[in-house]
Amino acid sequence: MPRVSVRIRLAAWYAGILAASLILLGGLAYAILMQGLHKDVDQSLLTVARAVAESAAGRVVGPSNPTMEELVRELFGASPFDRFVQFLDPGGQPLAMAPNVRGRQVPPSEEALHNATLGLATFETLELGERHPIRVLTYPVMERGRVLQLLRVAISLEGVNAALRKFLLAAAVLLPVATVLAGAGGYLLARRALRPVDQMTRAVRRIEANSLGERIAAPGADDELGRLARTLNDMLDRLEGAFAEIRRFTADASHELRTPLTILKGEVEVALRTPRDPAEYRKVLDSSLEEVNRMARMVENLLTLTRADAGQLTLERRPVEIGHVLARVVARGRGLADGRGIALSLAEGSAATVLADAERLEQAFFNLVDNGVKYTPQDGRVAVRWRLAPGGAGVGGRGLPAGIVAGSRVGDASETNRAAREPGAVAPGGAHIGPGSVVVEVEDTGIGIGAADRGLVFQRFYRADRARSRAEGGSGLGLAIVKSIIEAHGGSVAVQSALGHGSTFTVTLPIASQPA
Amino acid sequence: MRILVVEDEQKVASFIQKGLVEEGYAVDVAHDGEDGLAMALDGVHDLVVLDIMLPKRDGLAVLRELRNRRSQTSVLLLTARDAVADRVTGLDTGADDYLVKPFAFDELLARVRALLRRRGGDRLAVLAAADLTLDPATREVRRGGKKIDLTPKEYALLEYLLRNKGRVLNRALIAQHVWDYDFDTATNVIDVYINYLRKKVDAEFAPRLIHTVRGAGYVLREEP
Repeated sequence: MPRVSVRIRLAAWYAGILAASLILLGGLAYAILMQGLHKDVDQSLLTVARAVAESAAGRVVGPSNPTMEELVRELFGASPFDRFVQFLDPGGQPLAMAPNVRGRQVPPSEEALHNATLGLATFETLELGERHPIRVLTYPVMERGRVLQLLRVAISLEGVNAALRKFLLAAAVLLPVATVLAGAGGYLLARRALRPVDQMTRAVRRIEANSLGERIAAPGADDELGRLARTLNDMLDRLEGAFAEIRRFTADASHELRTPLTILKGEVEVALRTPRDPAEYRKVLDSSLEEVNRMARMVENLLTLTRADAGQLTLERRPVEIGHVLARVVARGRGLADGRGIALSLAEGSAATVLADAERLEQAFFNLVDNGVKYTPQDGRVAVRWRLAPGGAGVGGRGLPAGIVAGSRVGDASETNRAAREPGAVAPGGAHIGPGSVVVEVEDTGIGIGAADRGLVFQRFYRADRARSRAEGGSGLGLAIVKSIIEAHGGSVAVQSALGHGSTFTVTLPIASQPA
Repeated sequence: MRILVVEDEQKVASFIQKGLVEEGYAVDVAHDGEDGLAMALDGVHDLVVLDIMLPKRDGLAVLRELRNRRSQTSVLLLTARDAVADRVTGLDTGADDYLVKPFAFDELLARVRALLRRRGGDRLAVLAAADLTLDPATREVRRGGKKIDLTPKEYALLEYLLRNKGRVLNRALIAQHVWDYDFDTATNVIDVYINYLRKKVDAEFAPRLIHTVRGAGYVLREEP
């Protein structure tokens, strides 16, 4: 059945339902018609019987009474050929009969005789071996409480049967015709209704990974098909966006990896073209090592991001004092900042414990400090500070999960991460809402980020100033990693910036509920 | 032959320069699109090796501007993007050739030679004058079947003279095409190199090929 098209199935259903209804209706009509016709026959037999009985009242009709024919003619007109009337004595012996009796005598049944003694009329249908059965009424003619005579009136059912046969014939012809018409009509209707579906199928089949820009022509109406088309188009929008994002990422990643490869390959090939002195070889090897390190760093960063994407960033979460982490970060960044004549400062805030992987957290904050130092000119400053904020949402609280995970300590860290991704999620092990957040700010007096770039700086390989970033040795992944790590900790990161005046990165992290 | 390399990645620019100089080319380097365009518009280069992703003005914009200004200099595009559409765009904008990073240095050299050959309207791979032959691919110079060893600069000078056979070249022109921007034209380095070349190419052979045209410069021609 699955291979049969919807059109044909719909048509078959139409036809089937119509045929069933017609058969039911026809059967009912046939029954009613039959009943009605028989009732009419019985009624007319009774009428005849009464009239005959009445006009014969008082007269005893003998076996060959010539008035009988006159009587019948008088009552029923010229030729009541299909009826016969017969008088019988109470015992069932014929007395007189109408002239159209067909030579055959059928005595009344026992039941009829018995009924007659009770003064009741009896209807019977007799099969006399002829083409049509005969309906017979045995009617007692009463006089003062006793049965005087029996009157039998009979009529052939030929007319009734003919009417019923005509009905059946008409039904037998009309039923298939109606069924076929319904089927064909249903098929056409279904085809008409489903034509947009066919068109959509063809349109969707045409769309491939490299032609995701195409859209299905949506029927204007707000019906099921219009909605289907719009839903498909929305899905294509999302697919196209995702593909574009992947393409951009792949192009960027290949570019970023190709640059160090180009340098490695080129420098080594040029060096090998002619014999050189050891100092020159050494220079080439130093440079090669630098490039290999650059690539190794980038691959490491990409792996971190990929794991974070897959929700597999393993975090060894323990209660960590935020001040300790930031102190280590600033100590590490000191050399970098001094070398560029930049003042790097750390302002102590209140003690705050977060449940975090200290190493990852340090990596995230170091990336922020490193970024600040790189984009700040000489004699500028980079300031790191933190403060507490009530509730789950801090300054840059956008995207911060409402229910903050602070429960499970070790072991199933990835499980905790996954839970932390969903707002309001509760980690296994009886986690509960934290008492507040710690807000860490890294402020620089650097070149700032234009409004157009601000939303994009956390994207992979995104760099407002490519050449500058490359000259600084950046891979374009630092801030993306910050975002991944902070979000894996159930926190959020945001940036405010004024072009030419500097930027402030704000990280909001949930505080651990029970400092250990 | 003088080549301009426009490439923002310091190390890439540096090894290309080094390799080309060792092949006897005069090489200038620009690190962004604007400097690159300005230098290319000087019209002294025989070839521009142009990176596409450049700060200030990207390589395609530089190329478009060059062609808008009717510059005929050959351009070899360098890029890390290898999509067909990117290549088509590059070539349609007016590039003569296209090389995807990372590339084999030998391939870069071969393409440079091919572009320079095409530029001279000379489809023949080997340059020749009388019984003197110069093969840019192998950098082999022979006279009368005998192999002649030349330094890169001598080789570059001879190649330039051969490519402009019969044309009188003044010192400024020779300096422009065989030496780079750092060359001080006030010195007599060109005369010195012409002398080196004469010793190796003309001294033991006849006829003499390199002639001095008094007050004008030098010319390489077969008839005396």
